Amino acid sequence: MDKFNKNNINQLIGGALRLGVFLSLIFMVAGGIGYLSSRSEEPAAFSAFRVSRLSFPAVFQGLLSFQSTAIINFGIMLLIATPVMRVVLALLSFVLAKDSLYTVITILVLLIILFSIISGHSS
Amino acid sequence: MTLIAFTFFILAGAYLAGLIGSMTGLGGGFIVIPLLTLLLHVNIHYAVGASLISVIATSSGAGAAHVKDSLSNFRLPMFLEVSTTLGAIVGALYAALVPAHLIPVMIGAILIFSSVMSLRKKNDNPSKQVSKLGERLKLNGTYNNGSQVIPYKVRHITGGFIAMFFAGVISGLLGIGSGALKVFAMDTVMNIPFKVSTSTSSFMIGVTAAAGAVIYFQHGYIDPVIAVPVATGVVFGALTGAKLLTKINSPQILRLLFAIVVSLLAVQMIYNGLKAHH
Repeated sequence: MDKFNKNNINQLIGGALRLGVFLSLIFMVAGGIGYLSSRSEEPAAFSAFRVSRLSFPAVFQGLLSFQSTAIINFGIMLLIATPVMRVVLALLSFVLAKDSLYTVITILVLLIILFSIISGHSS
Repeated sequence: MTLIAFTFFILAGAYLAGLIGSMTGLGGGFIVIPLLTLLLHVNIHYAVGASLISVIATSSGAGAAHVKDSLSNFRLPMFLEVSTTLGAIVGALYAALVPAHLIPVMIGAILIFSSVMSLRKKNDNPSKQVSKLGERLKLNGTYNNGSQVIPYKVRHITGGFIAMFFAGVISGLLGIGSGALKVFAMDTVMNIPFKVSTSTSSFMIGVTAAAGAVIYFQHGYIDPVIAVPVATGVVFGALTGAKLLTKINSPQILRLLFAIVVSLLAVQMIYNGLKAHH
């Protein structure tokens, strides 16, 4: 059991983190090139904050019609999801080790993140 | 400035931020906020959103490079994450209510605190005190120092838990990893040895930032046009930094140099924030 935890879980976590960062950069750069290809000479205006809410379903819809900002936003979502994968894999290792206390604590962390997604949507 | 020039400017700056962040161990978001606000006059809300993205990118990048966790080392970060993620939600939800000019002042103060922390002497005296709660939560463990396996005991669990909530609030409010605050809390409150507190902190930074980022993302703080060069630059900068670090003989002098640079930037941010108020 201990051998499994030390090697396999670490490799799995390392691999998941690499994959997450790699995939998210691919989407972000692809979308970024698409966005800049038509607007590169426009002035950069970011000194004022314009409130524009964003919803996860809207990103998926935009992704299906190949909107460049939606492709970037999907990459950002992948990036944000990457550390959460680490928690999910830690959950797996606690379950395998039959550590019920920490299985519960890890599920609690995931529920808090879920709550964060919902509260960001509704507030 | 045209969008293309703006993008390449950020890309270069973020690369430098990732480089310095990984070499000092201060994290990638470190000079992203002053770069965007002081040099490029980007609104503080967008800067904070971009910074949080750079925090997640570096923390995942660093984690991918060297994960050496064992099961016992998962317990401490997971337990404390209950508190940091809750704090991050509170911070991110109230970020909009903090007066815009106060945010750079607060970030400046944290930057100075963090650079001082990065130069401080490391605590390596494992506590002998026994905490019942720590034992019940299986938080005591061991760490490797060379070939030695050193056991340590965690104390003041409740105090540490509360301090972590505060670190989470700061992370969500200011879009930083607040790694220095986390290490400080583990070190001074819970008496956790430095090696354990730094690895625990780097595990927690990404998850804490993600909890705040899902709120930032939906509230439109994370602008896609700024996020792309920031994330790309920081990741590649951090990779270069990790390679360079193995070749440098005296990282301590480098740390001191960077701490001075970061503190100067911080003073400038505090000054600008206070000036904007009057």
